[in-house]
Amino acid sequence: MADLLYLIPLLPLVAFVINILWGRSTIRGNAHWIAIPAAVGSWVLSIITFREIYTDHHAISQRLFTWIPAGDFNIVVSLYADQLTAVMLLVVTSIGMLVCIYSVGYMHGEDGYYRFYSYIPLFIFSMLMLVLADNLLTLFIFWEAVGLCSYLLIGYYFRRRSAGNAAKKAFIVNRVGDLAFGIGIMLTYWTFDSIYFHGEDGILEKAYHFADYGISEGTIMAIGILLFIGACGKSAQFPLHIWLPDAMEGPTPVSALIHAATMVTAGIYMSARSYTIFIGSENAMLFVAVIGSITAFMAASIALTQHDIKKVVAYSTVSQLGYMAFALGTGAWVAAIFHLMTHAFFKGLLFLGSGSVIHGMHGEQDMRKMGGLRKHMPITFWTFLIGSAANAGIFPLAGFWSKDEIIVGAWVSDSHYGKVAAIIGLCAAFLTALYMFRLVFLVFFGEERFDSHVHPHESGPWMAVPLVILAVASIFVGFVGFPPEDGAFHEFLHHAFEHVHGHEVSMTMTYTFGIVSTVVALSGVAVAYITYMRKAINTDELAERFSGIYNFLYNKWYVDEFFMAAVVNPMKDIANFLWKVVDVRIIDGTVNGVGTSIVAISARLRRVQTGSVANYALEIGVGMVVLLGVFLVAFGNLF
Amino acid sequence: MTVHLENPDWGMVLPQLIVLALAIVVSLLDAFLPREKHFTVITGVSLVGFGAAIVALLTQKGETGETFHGLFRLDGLSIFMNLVILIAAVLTVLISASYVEYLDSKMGTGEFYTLVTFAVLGAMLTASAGDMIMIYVGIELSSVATYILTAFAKRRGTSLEGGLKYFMLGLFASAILLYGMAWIYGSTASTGLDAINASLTATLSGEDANAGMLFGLLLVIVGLGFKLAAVPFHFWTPDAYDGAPTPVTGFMSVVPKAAAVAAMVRMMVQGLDALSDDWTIVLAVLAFVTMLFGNVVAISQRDVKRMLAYSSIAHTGYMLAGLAAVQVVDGVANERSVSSVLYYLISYAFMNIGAFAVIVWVQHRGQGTGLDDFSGLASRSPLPALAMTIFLVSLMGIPPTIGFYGKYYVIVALLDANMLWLAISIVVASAISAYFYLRVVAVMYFQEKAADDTDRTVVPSTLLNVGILVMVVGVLALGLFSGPIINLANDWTNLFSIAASAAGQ
Repeated sequence: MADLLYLIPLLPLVAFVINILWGRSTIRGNAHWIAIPAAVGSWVLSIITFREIYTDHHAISQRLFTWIPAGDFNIVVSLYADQLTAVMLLVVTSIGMLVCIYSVGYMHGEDGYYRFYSYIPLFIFSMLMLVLADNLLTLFIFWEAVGLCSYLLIGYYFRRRSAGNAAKKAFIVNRVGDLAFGIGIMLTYWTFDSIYFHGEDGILEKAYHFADYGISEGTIMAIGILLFIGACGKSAQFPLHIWLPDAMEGPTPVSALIHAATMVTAGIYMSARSYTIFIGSENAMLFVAVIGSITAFMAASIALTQHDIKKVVAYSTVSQLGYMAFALGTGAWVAAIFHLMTHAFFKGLLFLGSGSVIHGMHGEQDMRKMGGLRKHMPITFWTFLIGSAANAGIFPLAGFWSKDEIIVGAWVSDSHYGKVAAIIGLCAAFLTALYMFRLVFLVFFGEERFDSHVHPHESGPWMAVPLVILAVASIFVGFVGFPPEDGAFHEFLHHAFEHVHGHEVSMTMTYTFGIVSTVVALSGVAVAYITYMRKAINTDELAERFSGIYNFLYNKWYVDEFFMAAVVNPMKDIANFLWKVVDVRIIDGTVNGVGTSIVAISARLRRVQTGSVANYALEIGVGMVVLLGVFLVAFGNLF
Repeated sequence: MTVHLENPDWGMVLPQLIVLALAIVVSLLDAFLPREKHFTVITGVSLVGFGAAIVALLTQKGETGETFHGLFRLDGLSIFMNLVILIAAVLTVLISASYVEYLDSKMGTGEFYTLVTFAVLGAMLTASAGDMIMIYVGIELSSVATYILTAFAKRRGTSLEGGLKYFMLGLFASAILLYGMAWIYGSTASTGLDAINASLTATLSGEDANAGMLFGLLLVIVGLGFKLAAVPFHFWTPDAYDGAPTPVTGFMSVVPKAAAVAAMVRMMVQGLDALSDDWTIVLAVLAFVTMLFGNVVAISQRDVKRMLAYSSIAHTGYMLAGLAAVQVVDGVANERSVSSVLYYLISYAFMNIGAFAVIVWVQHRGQGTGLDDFSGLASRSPLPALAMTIFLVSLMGIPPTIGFYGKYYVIVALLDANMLWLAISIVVASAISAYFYLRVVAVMYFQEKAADDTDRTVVPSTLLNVGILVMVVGVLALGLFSGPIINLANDWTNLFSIAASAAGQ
C-alpha cells in the first residue's frame, strides 16, 4: 500500500483535469460519472491505508520527487500518513464521496454543472494533499489551494452579487490568518532550521526538546500563536469567523463538504499536527483555549436569533469549531480530533439535510416560511432529527461522546483556565441544544407557514441515500470512542501524539460529566419545546423586552460592524492616500521616468543595426579588438 | 607518431549514426518519392528517425568513453546536450511540417528536412567532441546547413538577404575561431581537449599564462560568441532571425546555440579550465552586456519575430552568466554552474520554440508577424493566445513556468560563486524584459482587430497544434518537476567533471 499512497490524491486530480478540459464541450451533464468513481476510489484506498496503519502501528511515507534542490534548502515532495492523517483521510474521502453522490440530485440542471464537478474533485485533491503533507511548506501550498477552491465554490453562482462578495470576503479574511501563518512558517524555519514535521531533526522533536537546542520559550510561544492565528482564519475562530456564515452563498453541498466537514477543520488539524510547539508554551495554549471558548459560546448565542436555516447551521459549525479549539488549548488533543471526526459526520448530515429542505421548498431558506415539513419529507425529517440530536450532544449519539470528552478534558487539565472553559462549554452546550431544536420545531413541526403555491416534496434517491448513510454514521461513529478516554479511537490515535501524557480520569468523573451534560442538553431541548411547540413563551415579546441583548445577538455581536469601522474604512482611507499621492505622484513618476529613459536608450541603440554587412563586420571587428586590447593589457603579462 | 588503426566503437556513436542515416534517407526520398507523398512520408520518417535517435541515446545513459582517437566523447555532458538537441529537432519538425508545405514560397519538404537533419547532426557532433578539430567540424556542419535554411524562402528577398548576411559574417567568425584554435595548438602542441588540459596544468602550475595562450582563448571566445549571438558579436542575429522562415528561426535560436554552448563548455571547462580565472571574467562581462543590450533593444521592436530575436540575444546572456559561475578549483567545476546552463537550455528550447510556434500558427491564419497581427488574438483564438501567454511569461521567468526555474538555478549558481552583481543584473534584465513580453500579451488580450482583417486563409495545422500542446505541457510540467532534471544534469555533469579531473591527473 505504501507504494500506492499517491493514488489517493491522484484520482480526484485526474477527475478534475478531465472535467475542466472536456466538461463544457463533451461531458456536460455526465460530469458526475467522472467525479464519483474517483471519489469512491480514493475512499477505498483510504480504508486500505487506514487498515494498514491500524495493524502495523507505524506511519507510511512515500517520497515522490525533489521539487527544488538548492543546497541546504531541499524541498522534497513526499506524502506522509500517520494515525492522524489516516483519520483525516477517512473523513475527507467519506464526506467527499457522499457529497459527490448527493449533488447529482441537488445540482441537477444547474448552469455550469461540469464546473461544480471540476472544483469538488480539485478540492478533494487539495485537501488530501494538505493532510498528507510532511512539511509546513507543502501544507501551506495546499492550505492556499483549498482556500482557492472554497473561493471558487462560494462564488459558484457568480451572477449573484452577494455570492461574489461573499467569496471575496472569505478570501480576504483568510489572508489575515494566512499572513500570520506565513510568518509563523518562516519563524519556524528560522528557529528549527527545518520545515519537516517528523524525524530526528523535525520540528516536532526539536520543539519538544526546545531547551536543549537553546530556543527560548518566547520564540515557541510566538510560533504557536502565529500558527494558531493562521488556524483562526481557516477554522473560523473569533474574530476571524465572519467569513463563514457569508460563505453559505455557495451551493449547499459545498457548505457541507468544505464549510462544515473538512476545509474548516484544516486549522484544527494543522494545530494538532504541530502539537509539540503548543505543549512547549503554556501561554500559547492559553491563547488557543480562550479564543476557542469565546468562539464556542459566541457563535451558539448568535445561532439562537437567526432566521435563515443555513445561517443557523453555519453558526453552529463555528461554535463546534470553537469546542475543538479549546480542546486543543486545554491539551485534549485526541478529544479535539475525535470531535472533528464526529462533527464531520453530523454536521455534513445537517447541511445536506437543510439542502434537502431548501431543495424541497424550491429555494426557500427562511425558517419563518416553513413549518410542518415532517409530513412532506419524512426521510429528511428523521435524518435531520438524528443530526440535530447528535449536534446537541444527546446520549448516545456521536456528538455526546466527543463533546463530553472535551468538557471533561478541559476540567481536568493543568491549565487554570480549564475549569472556566469547561463551564463555558456547558453553557454553550445548553445553547446548542436550544437553537438546534428551535430549528427542528420551526421547520418540521407546527403549522405550515409557506405560500399555498409551494408544494414541498421529498428529495430523490441520489439525495436521500447519503442522508441515511450519514444518519447511521452519526448514531454509531461515537462508539469508537467508548469507553471514554480509553476507546479504540484513543488507542489508535495515541501514537500520533506520543509526547502527550494524558490525565487519569476517574470513572466517577466520567459518569458525573456524562450525566451533567445530558441534563444540560435535555434542558435545552425542553426549553425549545416549551417555547416553540407549546408557545408558552412569546418570543416576540421576549425580544422586545430584552431588545438590547436581542439586537446584539441578531447583529452577530457587531463583529462585522467593528471590522468595517476599525479596519476596512481606515484601510480604504490609507489606500486612497497611497494611491492618489504616493503611487500616482511618487512611484508612477519614478517608474515612468525610468521607463521613458530606457525606451529612449532603446531607440538610440537600435540604430546600431544599420542593415549593412560591412558595418556589421566592422563592428564585430572593433568589438574583438577592444576585448583583446583591454583584456591583454589588464590581465596579460604582455607589458 | 605512427598511426595505428583501431576499430571505432560504433555503438558509442549510434545516435549520431541514426541521424546521419536519416539525413541520407530523407534526401533519397526527396529524389525518388512522388511529390504528393512528400509531406506525410518525409515528416513521418523524420519523426521516427529522431525518435529512434533519442531511444538510442537513452540506452547510453550513465556510460562514458571515447572513440575515433579521442575525437568523439561519450559522457554525461554529451548525452544531456544531445538529448536537448534531439528534443529541439522533434519540436522543429512538429512546427515546420505544414509551414514548409503550404506557406512562404512553398519550399521543398525533402530538402528542408535534409538540411535540418544535417544541422542537428553537426550540433550533436559538437556536443560529443573531445577535440578542437571535431568542435570546429561540428559547428561548421551545423552552421552551413543553417545558412541555407535561413535563405530557404528563396522567393522572399528578406530571407535571401538574411541568409547572405549570416553566411558572410559567419565565415568571418569561423575564421576567427579557427585562428584562435591555431594559437592554442601553437601553445600546447595538441588539439585534443584532455591533452591541452594536461599540458596547461603542467606548464602553468600557478604562473600566469603566456600572451599567446590568452590571445587564442579570447579569439575562441569571440568566435563562439558569434555563434551564440553574444553582444557585440550579435549583429547578424536580428536580420537572419527576421528573414528566415519562422520555424527555421525557432530552430536556429535553439540548436546552433546549443551547439555553441556545448562547444563553449567543452573548450573552457574541459580544455582550458586552468585559465578559468581569466575566462570567467570575460564571460561575465559578455553576459552582462548581452543580457542588458538584448532586452533594452527588444523594447523598440514592433515586430514580434524581431523582438524575439533580440530576446534570444538576452537569453544568451543568461546562459553565459551561468557558465561564468564555473570557478574551476583543482580540476573540479562548480557543479551547479554547468548543470544550471544545461537546465536553462532545456527550458529555453521549450519556451522559445513554443513562442515561435505560435507565430507560425498566426501565419497559418494568413497573418503577418507584426505586433498588430496579434491584436485581439485572445478573442478570436483563445487557446493559441493562452499558449503564447504561457511561453512569454516563461521567457520572462515567472513561476511556476520552466523559465523561472531556469533563471533560478542560474542565480543560485552565481550566488555560490559570489557573483552577486551578475545575479542582480539578471533580475534587472528580466524586469526590463517584462515590458516587451507583456506588451504582446496586452495586445492579444486588450486590443481589438479591425473586423475586415481577420483570418484571411486557414491552413491545416494538426502537427503544429500537437507541437504547441507538447510545449505548453513541457513549460508547465518540467518546471514543477525541475528536481529530477536538475539532478540528471548534476549527475551527468558530475560524471563529466570526474572524467575530466581524472584525465587531468
